Amino acid sequence: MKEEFLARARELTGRIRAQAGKTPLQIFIRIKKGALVRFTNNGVHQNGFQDLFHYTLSLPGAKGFSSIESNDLSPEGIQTAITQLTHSAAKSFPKSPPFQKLPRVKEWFPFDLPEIPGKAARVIRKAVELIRHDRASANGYYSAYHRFFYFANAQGLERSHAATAVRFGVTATKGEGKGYLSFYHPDGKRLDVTDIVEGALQLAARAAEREVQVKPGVYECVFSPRAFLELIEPLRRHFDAQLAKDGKSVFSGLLGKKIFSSTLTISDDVTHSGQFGLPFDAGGASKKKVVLIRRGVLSGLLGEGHSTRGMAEHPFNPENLVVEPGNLSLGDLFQRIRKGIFINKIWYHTLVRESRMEVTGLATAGSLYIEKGRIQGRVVHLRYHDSLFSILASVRGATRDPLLLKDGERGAALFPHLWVSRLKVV
Amino acid sequence: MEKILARLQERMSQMDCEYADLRYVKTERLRIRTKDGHLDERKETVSRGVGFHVLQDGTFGFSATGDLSEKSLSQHLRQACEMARQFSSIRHTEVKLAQAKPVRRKWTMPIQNDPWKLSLDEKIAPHVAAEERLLRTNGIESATGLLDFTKKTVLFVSSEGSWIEQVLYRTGGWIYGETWQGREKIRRSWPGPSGIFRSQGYEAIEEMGFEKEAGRLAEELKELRKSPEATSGRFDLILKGSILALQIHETFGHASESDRVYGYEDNFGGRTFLNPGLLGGYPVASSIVNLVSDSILKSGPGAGCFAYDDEGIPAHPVEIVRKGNFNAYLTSRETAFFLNQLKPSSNMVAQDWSNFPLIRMTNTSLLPGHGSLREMIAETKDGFLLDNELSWSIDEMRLGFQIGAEAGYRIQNGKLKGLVRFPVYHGNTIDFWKACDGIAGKKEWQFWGFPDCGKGGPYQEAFTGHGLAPARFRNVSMGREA
Repeated sequence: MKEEFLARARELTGRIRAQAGKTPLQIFIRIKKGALVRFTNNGVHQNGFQDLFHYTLSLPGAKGFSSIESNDLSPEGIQTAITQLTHSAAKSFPKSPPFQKLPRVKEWFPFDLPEIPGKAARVIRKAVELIRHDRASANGYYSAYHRFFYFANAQGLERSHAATAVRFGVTATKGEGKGYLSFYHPDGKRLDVTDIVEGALQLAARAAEREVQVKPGVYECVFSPRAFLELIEPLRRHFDAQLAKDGKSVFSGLLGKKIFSSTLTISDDVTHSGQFGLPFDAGGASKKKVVLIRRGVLSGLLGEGHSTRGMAEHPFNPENLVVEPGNLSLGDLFQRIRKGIFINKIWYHTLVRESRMEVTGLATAGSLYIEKGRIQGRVVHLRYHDSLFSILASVRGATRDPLLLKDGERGAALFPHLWVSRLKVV
Repeated sequence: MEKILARLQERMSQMDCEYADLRYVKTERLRIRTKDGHLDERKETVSRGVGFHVLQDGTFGFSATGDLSEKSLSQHLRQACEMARQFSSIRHTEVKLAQAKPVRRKWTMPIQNDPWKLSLDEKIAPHVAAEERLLRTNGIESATGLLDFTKKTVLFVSSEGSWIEQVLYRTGGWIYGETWQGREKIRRSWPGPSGIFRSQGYEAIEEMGFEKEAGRLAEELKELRKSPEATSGRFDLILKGSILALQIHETFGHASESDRVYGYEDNFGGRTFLNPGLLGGYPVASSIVNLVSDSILKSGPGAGCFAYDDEGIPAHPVEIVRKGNFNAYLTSRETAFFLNQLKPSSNMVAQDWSNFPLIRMTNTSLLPGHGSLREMIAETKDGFLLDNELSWSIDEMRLGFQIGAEAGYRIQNGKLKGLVRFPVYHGNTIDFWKACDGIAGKKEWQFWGFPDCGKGGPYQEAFTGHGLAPARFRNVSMGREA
């Protein structure tokens, strides 16, 4: 299948080049095939199989960057794309990045695409049985995709990467309690449905025991890997070196300075043995490890080799975040909490004030109140309002086993559970 | 292409299934970002393909492809059947559909000025002028803008005999200026941080008057550098424009989507406080509040307009809240049957060909009342007037919310008394809407709307429109929720 994707991408690239003549196009091809199925404890309610093939042609234009994405592979469709693109004709041509060997990222664990509906049905049947057996209600999803990415520029640089992704997530509800757990890995054989469903049911059962009214104030918190990834999302675009140089990043002027807790180390690192994602950037350059935060000190920013221009809203974004794990188990970590909250998932996490990184949002899908190391019950409709600088300056520890999370189309995140000593709950 | 689709329609009508449809969709979208009076990035997307939706053994199956060969399309029709067959033994419930009359019709949304016929320079001219105007003002360090044009051609074909061709347009944009006070960034945007999106052509951009508004933004940015922060407490609140559109969108807009009642969106979009037992008379707002879902273009060019939804149901108005009482949900053919409603509300929309349709807000509007914003301000002793949203969050049941604005105007003794920075208000959906005691009249009623309402899995975005006139809410909690 991988070879077939590569052959299709090369054949299309040849046709585009033939039609484009001397126009120095940069070509990015994305293929995605697979299915997503959504279910409740009653069974499947939505499902869809998708077969997507898109190409993006880009050029620095006469006045700015210009790109066109299309899935019309006909000669007429390609010609239209080229014509539209060259309306803002290039004066300066894209410079090819120096050739560097790509980091090896094995993300291809293929499965038979026609088998996906049957596989999904078996997974969901098992999940639903477990949920019903526990007299709980739930909702969730299962997805399995083949992906292929291909890059070629006018200077002859060619890159390609094949990936698979299997995801499964369940939000279980028992009485008034909720619990969410999820799985993502390129190798779907690693999915243990029972483990995920029972984990979600256990969280829900703990949350169902009683409701704890949490008064506004400052609390210790344990963030799940997913919640922590969502929490730091507003910081992501500020790691752009150019933005920082222009004085428009919240990190401007802070390189080399201590801004967060010395317990926190964050890298953008697709080369990490536990990471997965595209080993080259939107300009074809080889990705490399950049330590963004080293023991609380802002130590790196992103430039060439991390371009997302034309692919994402902002030109330089970390796509393979890794938070250095600690040495605690989740149980150990809970034991150390005097009065705190376990936050499993957050939503409507928005910036109130960018320069201070002041954020607000709600904890959802099962927040637990912990006192003296023991789970006391659920916290509902928990709203926080605080500065990310303040929260991240208070990181006190992390668990030793990081969890792999899907992060956008081309990347992943590898995060442990994080313990912070202060989050302002309102 | 039409011949192939006609053959597929014939095949779908003969298949051993309860129902089948296909949607051929071609989406052309052009997004142009400008910065400091220059073109920064131009991104165009062209995507076309076919999505098949089959109801077999009480279960929906969906399959989509961009490969338009007859062989590929036939294969994906079979794949949709296979998806339905595989899940029929573990289906959520037996899906049955409310009745719908087959329709054969072509409809092209009328526009005055086709964006694709204008040169790039012509398209960006208002933004260039507006950004230059902003940058002429001392202290304004950057100006940024976005223009966003969509043309969507949809051909809906069903096993029941429908053949509906539509061409839809969506146009929108925004500008903002930024100034800094120390490390504090202050931003002011027009018409809102997400712009206004409408079912129009380039005339929508012309009507937004970017250059004129840039002058006001420049003056306000200057003032905001010296303005105090908003105080906390309980105040009367007048909302207008984009922030009121968001208030409608996040509270009754999402809460009225009936798929939330059945838990279909629980793992992403959440549920709703509006349960079916409240239908037909439960008071959820003050008696002057009337909220309507209406995708008919004649009712105004909201960004959710069409002639038929993605189940082939003709657009028609539905009163979600009538005189303050909960009256109706937004439904699909599936949920209309569950709710024992004879007619689905025409709110099924898919982002494109590769996604199945979901129940969506299209144009969810607050109907006009009487009087004017000026009169409303004059009648307000101690309050704030807010326009553009900056942050927002709401709980899973769509009850507890907090919304922050870019800036606000202080109102004291019936007069505007200058700007304040970072006002935030919060409340409970029902209490908040019950505190609505004034909605301005028709003269100030117009459509606002967003391009990126997110829902579903795989994630889909949709355009939504919100017709509104400024409205007042009494005794609202301002400041951080506590």
